[in-house]
Amino acid sequence: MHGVTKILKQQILGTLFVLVYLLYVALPTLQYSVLSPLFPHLQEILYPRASLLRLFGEHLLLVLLSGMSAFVTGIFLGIGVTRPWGREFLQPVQDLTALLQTFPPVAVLTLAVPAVGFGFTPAYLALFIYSILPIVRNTITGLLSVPQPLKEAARGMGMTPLQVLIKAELPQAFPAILTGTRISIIINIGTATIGGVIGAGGLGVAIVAGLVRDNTAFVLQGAIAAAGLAFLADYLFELWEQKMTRQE
Amino acid sequence: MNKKLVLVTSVLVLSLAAMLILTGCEAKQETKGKVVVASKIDTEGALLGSMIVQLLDHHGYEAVDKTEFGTTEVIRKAIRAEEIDIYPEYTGNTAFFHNDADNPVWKDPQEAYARAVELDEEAYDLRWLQPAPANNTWAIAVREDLAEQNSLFTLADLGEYVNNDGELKLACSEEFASREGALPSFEEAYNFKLEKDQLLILSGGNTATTERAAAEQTDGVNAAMAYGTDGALAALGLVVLEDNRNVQHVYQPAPLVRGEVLDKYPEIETILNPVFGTLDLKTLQSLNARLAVHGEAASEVAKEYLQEKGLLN
Amino acid sequence: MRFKIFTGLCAVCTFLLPLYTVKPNRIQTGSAVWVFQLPTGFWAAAVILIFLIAFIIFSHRHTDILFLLFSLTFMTLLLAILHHIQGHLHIWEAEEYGRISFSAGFWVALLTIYLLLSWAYRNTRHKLLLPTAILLTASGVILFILMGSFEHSAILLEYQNRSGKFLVELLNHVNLSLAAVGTATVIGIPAGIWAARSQKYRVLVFKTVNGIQTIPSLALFGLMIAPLALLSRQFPVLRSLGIAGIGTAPALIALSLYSLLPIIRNTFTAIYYIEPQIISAAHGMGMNRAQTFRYIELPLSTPMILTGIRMSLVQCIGNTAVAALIGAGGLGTFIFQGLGQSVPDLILLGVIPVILLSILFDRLFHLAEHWATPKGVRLAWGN
Repeated sequence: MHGVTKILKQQILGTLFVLVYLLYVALPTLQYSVLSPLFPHLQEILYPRASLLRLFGEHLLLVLLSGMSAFVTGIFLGIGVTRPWGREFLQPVQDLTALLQTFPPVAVLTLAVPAVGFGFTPAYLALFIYSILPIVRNTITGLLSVPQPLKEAARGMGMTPLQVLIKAELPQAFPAILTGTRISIIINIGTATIGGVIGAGGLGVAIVAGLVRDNTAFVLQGAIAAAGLAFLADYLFELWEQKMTRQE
Repeated sequence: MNKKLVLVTSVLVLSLAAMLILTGCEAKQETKGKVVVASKIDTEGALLGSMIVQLLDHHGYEAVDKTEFGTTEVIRKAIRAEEIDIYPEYTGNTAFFHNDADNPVWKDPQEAYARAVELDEEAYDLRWLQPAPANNTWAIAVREDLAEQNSLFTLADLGEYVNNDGELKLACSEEFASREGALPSFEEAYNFKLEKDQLLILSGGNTATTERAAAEQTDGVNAAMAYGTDGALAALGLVVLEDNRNVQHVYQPAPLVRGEVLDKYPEIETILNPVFGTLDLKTLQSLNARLAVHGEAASEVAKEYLQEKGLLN
Repeated sequence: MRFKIFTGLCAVCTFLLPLYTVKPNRIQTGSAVWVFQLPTGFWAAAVILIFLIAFIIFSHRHTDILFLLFSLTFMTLLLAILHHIQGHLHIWEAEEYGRISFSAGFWVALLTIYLLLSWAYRNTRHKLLLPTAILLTASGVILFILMGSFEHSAILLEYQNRSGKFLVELLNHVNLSLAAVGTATVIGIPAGIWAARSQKYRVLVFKTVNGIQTIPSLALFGLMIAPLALLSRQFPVLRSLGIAGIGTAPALIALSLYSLLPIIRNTFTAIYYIEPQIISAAHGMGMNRAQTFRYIELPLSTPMILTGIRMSLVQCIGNTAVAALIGAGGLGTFIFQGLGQSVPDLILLGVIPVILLSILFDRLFHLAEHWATPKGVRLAWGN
């Protein structure tokens, strides 16, 4: 009984946070009333050239688009290298992901500029490539840790390799894949913020503009929204993971 | 105690300390005094800042090189906070620091300079030294081929060309498109209006990116926002259209010094005035080009120029 | 077999993509250079290399040595092409201010070489393979440097223009990263131990550091500015110490906060999951709590703590690059200057050292972890 009320309380708090966050992003008046008492000497409090809601939308679009393509690609790659015909690539892929993960996100992001130029596309590509890494790694770990007897039992029941994969291996590996996705989405949100410097749009635009013009209010306006978005995403993943463990 | 962990941690801490000491220690010499020189974070800033540093060094001061320090707002705050002593600023910018942008004096070189001197000295005790004759103002540059075919020399020509449905696409930053003193004032003075699809807005773009877009005709761009003294224009095959109705503020570069520092070392004025006096538009453009286009080092270009003028040996 | 075919395809791709770009000056786009545009000798060499790949694919013996030889020839060819282009800059009307940038083909080639060498390293019985490869590569590159092959390389030209500043910013970068991780270590290890001991505060500690880690780095830097600016306005003492809204102070604080999570988490895990039997055995031997901690818990958990420090440091080196945006200096300065002037090679001048630093410190700490693992544990793990 105690556990149930605790979860309920947590969910109410969570929903409240989501609501407040969305209101903050959507309503310039709310942003103004939060920020203006902090910066009485500044003339401009809100980033003038685009509404925070629009920047938020761009940010979300960038993160979701790259995240989803990375999710699909990463899972396929992870499945591929754990099949008998792709086994040869397992070690190279693991080596390569380990190497690429030492690359800082900002490096991957800015390396896209010489290759593709400024704007949305290079940011999308960089985020896509970077967010594949945790997903691939966790898919591989998840699939490799599926107990051999389970696979054999499934095969013994007359399942084809594809059925074994879908019905036995993937459900077992799913928690690991989910963790990987969570990591990559959170990193993605952070990296997309830096995307403001390469003209990708998003919440980083307000922060960078504030830094360039030495207007701390713009910086704060964007930083609160970006941090909130990251918390929001983290919270949603938390809920999902909790739900999964409860089902088990 | 676990020696290994201690060892690793202490190596971390020691290397840190060593580096702090290394970077903190500078060879001490007898100098007339320390002057912190900063400049804006662009090629012209690097060039002018470097000239100031070398001249002060040459005359026996210890010039602390903080060139390419930051954006206008950042650097302005720093000099008011007495973190820096001197940096090259543009006369026309003073209008915005003192909310005086509507004043017509900013469109005349002499009056603008006089007004800047007056405002800055009164409010913050900042002193302007002699300005360069070059005017580094907002401008519109078009591709050479477009200019030749349609004989575009001035912005008035451009306005006419646009009103006769001539094809034009301008690459610019958000700031240029929306800021009162920039594109809107051109449109008003020369009586033309660029539609939304005639603008390629590169958010956060500066003149390097817009000029490149025009040179490479990205998305059909054939015109770009530019600064008067940009060095890359000629190399990219772009020409600046003349602001024949003097819409823009005058932006002449000049050293801006803290009053306290200038009172202490009044010699600074006589050291720097000769060089800024020689920097006209063509000279500054070609020096900037050596930095931006040829990729030469700011310090080298500055040194050669000063030697050529006999200000340095 | 499949892997060999794949790397073979990568190598072929190298010759189908432009290898280098020759720019007449710093800002013009320049023209791409493919291998088949070069004199016959070069593409003949390329064709021979492709045949060599085919040979390697279908041979079953000494693949590791063949891979090594192939990689070295491949690299030599790339450098020889660079050298050739440099001697013939007039073809592209780029004699005086011409500069050569690396293009897609070159990067694919590097990737291929990495894949080949790492495969050879994993599958070889010769212990000296990797050192040989490194030695030969290094001496080859040095030879070409001495021959002046890199004189017109764009990155090098950018470096020469700011060689003084480069060293300062490099030191600054390393300094800031180490200082941040050092601070985080001093706070993180006790915090991790505390979390392992006290159940009550464990959740609180982890909620906090997890939360901090979630905040995007740029946003965290941004959030630091306002309170620090306020503090330094209120207390002039802080300002005289150089603490202000922008610059090193907010960067150092934000970076340290960021570095906390891996250190705390790993310290906690290492201490918390030590098998209880080991602890009771120690007590049985008459050790008191402090002794158990000193002689049992700490040595056993050191490798894991070092892993945490390593993860923090690698992450921190990347984030320090972002700190340049709030005026903290470091290699990020070049990255953002390059972005501002839209000069890709200047971006690379910042990015490449950042990546190399990350890899360097990653390797160093791997060594330290291995070395800090108690002999008994190493034996138990079988390595």
